[in-house]
Amino acid sequence: MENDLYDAIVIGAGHNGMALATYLGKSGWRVLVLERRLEEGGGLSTEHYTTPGFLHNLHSNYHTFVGLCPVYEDLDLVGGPDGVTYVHPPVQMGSIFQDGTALTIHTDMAKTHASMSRFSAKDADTFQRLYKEVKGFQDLMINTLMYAPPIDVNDITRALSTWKVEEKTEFFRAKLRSMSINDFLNKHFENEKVKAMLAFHAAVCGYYTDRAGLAISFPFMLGKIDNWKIACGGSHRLAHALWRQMRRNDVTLLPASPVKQILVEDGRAVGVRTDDGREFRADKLVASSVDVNQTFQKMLPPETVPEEILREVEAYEYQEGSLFSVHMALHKIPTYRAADFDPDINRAWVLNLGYETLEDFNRDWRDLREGAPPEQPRLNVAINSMFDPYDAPEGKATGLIRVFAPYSVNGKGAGVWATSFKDVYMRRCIEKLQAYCDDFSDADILEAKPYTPLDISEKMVNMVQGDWMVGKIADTNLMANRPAGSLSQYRTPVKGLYLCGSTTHPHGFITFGPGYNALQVIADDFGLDKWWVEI
Amino acid sequence: MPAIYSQEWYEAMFNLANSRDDISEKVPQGEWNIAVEVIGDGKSPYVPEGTTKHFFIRFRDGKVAEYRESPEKISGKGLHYRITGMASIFDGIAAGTVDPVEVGLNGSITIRGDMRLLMQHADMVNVIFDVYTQSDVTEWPLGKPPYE
Repeated sequence: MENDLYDAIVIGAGHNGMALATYLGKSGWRVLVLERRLEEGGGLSTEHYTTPGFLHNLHSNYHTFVGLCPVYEDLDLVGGPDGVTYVHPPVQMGSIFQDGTALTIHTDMAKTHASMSRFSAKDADTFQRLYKEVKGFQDLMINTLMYAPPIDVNDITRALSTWKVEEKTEFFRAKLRSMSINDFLNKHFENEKVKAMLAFHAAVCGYYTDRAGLAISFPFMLGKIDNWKIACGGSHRLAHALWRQMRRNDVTLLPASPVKQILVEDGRAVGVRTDDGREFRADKLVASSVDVNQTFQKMLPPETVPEEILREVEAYEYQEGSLFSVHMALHKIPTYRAADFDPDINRAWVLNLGYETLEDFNRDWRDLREGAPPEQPRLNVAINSMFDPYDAPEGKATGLIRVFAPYSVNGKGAGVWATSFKDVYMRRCIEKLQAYCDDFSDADILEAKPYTPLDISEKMVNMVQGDWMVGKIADTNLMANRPAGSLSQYRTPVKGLYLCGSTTHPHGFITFGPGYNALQVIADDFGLDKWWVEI
Repeated sequence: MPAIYSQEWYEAMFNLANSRDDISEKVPQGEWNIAVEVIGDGKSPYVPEGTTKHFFIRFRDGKVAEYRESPEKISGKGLHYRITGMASIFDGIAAGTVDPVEVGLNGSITIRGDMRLLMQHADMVNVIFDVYTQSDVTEWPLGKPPYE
């Protein structure tokens, strides 16, 4: 089999690589996927990380594009015997504040409005108008801005101007291009706690709230604030669903097969060589779903890459911060004192414990840029077992705490995370959680285990410096600027070599955007019938 | 003046579009196939509730090559855009009382297809709607929106 000729070889069996391979397989191509690790899935990683029987999502936990991204439907990834069972928690997220109050975001927007009104009736109304406005053009924007190869942002703003969109919407403005999410929230909202709740949503999506230019994505992001879903039995179930579809379409997956080199002949990618010397050839294309640095600096022979591309790749920037996680096997689900104020907080899935103002976020972003783990960790907590009956033994629960944290600690490198510091920091996080709970002691924790930015980067080499967004989220690195202007259309200067990973538009997270968009370009280049496009 | 949705009306729209140089200048070269679905919503007297009118428009090298009504849903094969909305909304656009961009933004009209091209040719969208809203070529035998 190893000497067989394939139509396409995909490097990396993350969700983007697997999706692209499945589409091509379904189109009748012979496709091979080579994966470095023993198991497919990339960031769709679920493991018995603590006590056996407790399933922990080590990377992706929040799936926010189910029902919005075409890939789920095209490839039958949801429901049925082969698909994933998703749960849509009715109380999507919440913030608990030090004064004992709590704000909750529901799938029922009337309930969100009621919760927000307790802090500011004006903000609740504003949010309702904003949400309604965004819902009107959400499909349009998602299909244009995420599930299509990117166009120049100037084209978009010119169109908005030509169509006089600013006169017809309350929130969508071309000048959002230069504003930060903080600016947007300060312009439209008055209550700090409401602002903190909405900023928290952006932050968990990987958008730093103080960065100029990111406000352009913010209204659109808020349109899916009620679309956070849990893959029952762990995020890895989505990888299994993809794997089953690959099998069904005769796609070959070879795990434990790290690619060492992309073979280039006469300026064209013709195959790959693995670490152990096996060679595989493809007569149409090679698609790399790993990051641009590995693709261009490690896998391609240097003489095949123009110098200017190498310079651009070298300059590619990653997020300043990563995530520090605490995975917990629990005897019980924590409950919160703030339930006296809003009982729904005990039913909320994703919790903000610690961000009370926009300045709290600013402080953490500053710390991250200086390489300092926040002294007082502000938590993002999720207890999936509240909704997922399969991720913990009966009567027990699996818990997750996450904190934004730097890769390199205080200028001493990422190795600090391999020392006892990780246990000290984990302790700090657990105590912080306990401070909000009404009755949650150490005795309620069967086992807790940290997972650090260093662990992320070592397990997922794609996530350079522990960057789960696989590249900086900034206007200089989004849309047609990602990963660089010359590479933004998924083609490369090496003929037959395509990019399909999260260093390309739109970004990391389980969006499927990079794989899906690369597919459109490949289909154009090879005259494939786009059976997946239904107009 | 031809009655809306009559064969003469389609012909008038066809001729009007092709008489406008600004359209042929702004429509990208090549062939672009567009389906329009007008759904009877019980408000418009022109499309009975529970039925849908299907139009097909083909642009070729900047000119309208075809503009016709189809008795059935137009297949997605070879189609570039499908525009769908309630009849009262489309009537309102034709009568010049409803802003097409506004109803596109609030989701009253859905557009399937590659929006990037529309954004890159934003002027073209304006002139096409401009043609569609030429109320002086349209007669409203059952009343003009808001049908009073």
